[in-house]
Amino acid sequence: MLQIKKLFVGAMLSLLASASAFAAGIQHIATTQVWDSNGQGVSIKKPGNTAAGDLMVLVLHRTDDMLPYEVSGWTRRAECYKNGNGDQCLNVADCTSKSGGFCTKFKNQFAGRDLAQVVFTRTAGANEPASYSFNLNQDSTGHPGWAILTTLRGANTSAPVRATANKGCDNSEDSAFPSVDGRKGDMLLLSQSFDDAVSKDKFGAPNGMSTFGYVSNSDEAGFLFGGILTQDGATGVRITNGSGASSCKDALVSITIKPQ
Amino acid sequence: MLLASGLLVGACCVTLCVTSDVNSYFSANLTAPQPELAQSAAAGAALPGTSALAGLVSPFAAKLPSADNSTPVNRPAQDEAQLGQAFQQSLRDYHAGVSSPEEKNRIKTALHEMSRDRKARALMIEMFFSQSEPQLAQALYGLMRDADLKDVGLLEDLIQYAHRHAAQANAANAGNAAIAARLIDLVADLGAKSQSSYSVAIDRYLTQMAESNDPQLRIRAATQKIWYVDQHQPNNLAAQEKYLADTAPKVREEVYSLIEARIANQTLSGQGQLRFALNAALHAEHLGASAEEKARVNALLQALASTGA
Repeated sequence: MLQIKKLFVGAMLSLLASASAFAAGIQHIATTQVWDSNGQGVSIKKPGNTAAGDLMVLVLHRTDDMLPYEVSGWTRRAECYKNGNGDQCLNVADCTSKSGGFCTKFKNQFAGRDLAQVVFTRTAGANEPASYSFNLNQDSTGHPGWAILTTLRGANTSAPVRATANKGCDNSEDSAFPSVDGRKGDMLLLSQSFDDAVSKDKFGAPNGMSTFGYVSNSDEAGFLFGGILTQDGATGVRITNGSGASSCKDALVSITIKPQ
Repeated sequence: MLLASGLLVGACCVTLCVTSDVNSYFSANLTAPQPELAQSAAAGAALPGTSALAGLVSPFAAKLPSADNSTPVNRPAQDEAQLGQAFQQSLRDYHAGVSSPEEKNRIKTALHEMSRDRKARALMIEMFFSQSEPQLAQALYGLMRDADLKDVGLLEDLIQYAHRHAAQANAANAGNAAIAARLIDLVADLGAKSQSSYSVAIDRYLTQMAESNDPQLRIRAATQKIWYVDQHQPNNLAAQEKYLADTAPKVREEVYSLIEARIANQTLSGQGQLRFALNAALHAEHLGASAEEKARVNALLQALASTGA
């Protein structure tokens, strides 16, 4: 009898937790970031307070080198590989030569190694490690790699992504993230790679959004902005605040995350 | 490609040994647009006698991977042509986007070396404005950005050339607007990493372009001007006020963004006049501010009031 009672109480608590998360919508729990000089030992800490059932969104960034589109334990959701500053994004769908989770040639001619980012997700389990390590290299020499990892609670973990869009050269000193489909209550995430070191205030969060993550070192930077959508439909182009910097050094990804 | 970047690095190493005066070069040769200069440079031919590369010493020719070592080395014209060809080929490689990261780095290094030599800088300036080889001009712009040149002096030289060119053309045509947009973008690139030195020429250029008849160029220049002044003259709020009355919402929003940042950083003082300008913008019917914009301005006014101004 006692066992049944315990099971019942446990089930009720679980239901209440789910209902609470649903009622609260998607919440940003915490974000971590890291930069690594050669991309061979990108080790990023699990964001604080991450709990089982949370959705973790990982963005791996790379400059002047390869970036894997597959990493063990994570599901790829979006990407942008650039061949040069002024170029638009190349996607994994454009890859014509692959090797071990890396695309070695896009469209039969482009390396796509000037600047790149790939967005992955993972559902947190009960025994997540304290950190996650990635070797972004395919060969022995490496250029910088960096990562931003954010934890969301109340997100749909079985099919988290509603839509994605990317932009390689926005021709704007600000960053103009491409419009993406969304619904009221979705979490809009905007991820930016930048091929120059910049201070955080150069790219402030677009109106109504927050800066979840920022990392800058040497000759590169990464930003992650987030915010809950307040209406259905296309988000429209979202533009950063601040002075910005050179117009086409960015690689931009917009992604909408569905609530439970 | 490797050969071309090697040629360019080799050529630059030699041009670094040569000194000249880029200002006298401008005065003597660039008082009027000389498309033939850019054309001949783009074609890889020896430039006219007064070209930036005239007098280039030749020993480097022997060092170049493609040099014909069986021929005499003291041939400046050949050297000029070789440097021009190497420069072009590097730009073509860069433009084609098929260079490896290592090759791109060599090209970037060569560009940095060129930028430190006055004569080679003049060649870069000619190429930047080349009308006969627009792809190479575009490639050079991209390469300058990619290589993080962030060279205030070079930008001033480019602006000086642009002024002379525009005066001669006597019109702000589409080509000039595109060039101006590139120059403004290079201004934006200057301060990405750290504070660059203030330049009166750049400030004036932004002011001038912010009054252009081309609406896109005007907005782009005005927004850059707002941040340029903020970076170099943070207490000059009076310079920002006129942009609060700009007819383009994008320009007004840039000032709002600046004020929000300054409030957040607690670096705003003497904003009484700013509040007046914000109020004026809020009630100016002809600006057609949206409800969202008005809400943003009201929030700003409240924030300014709460700071005790």
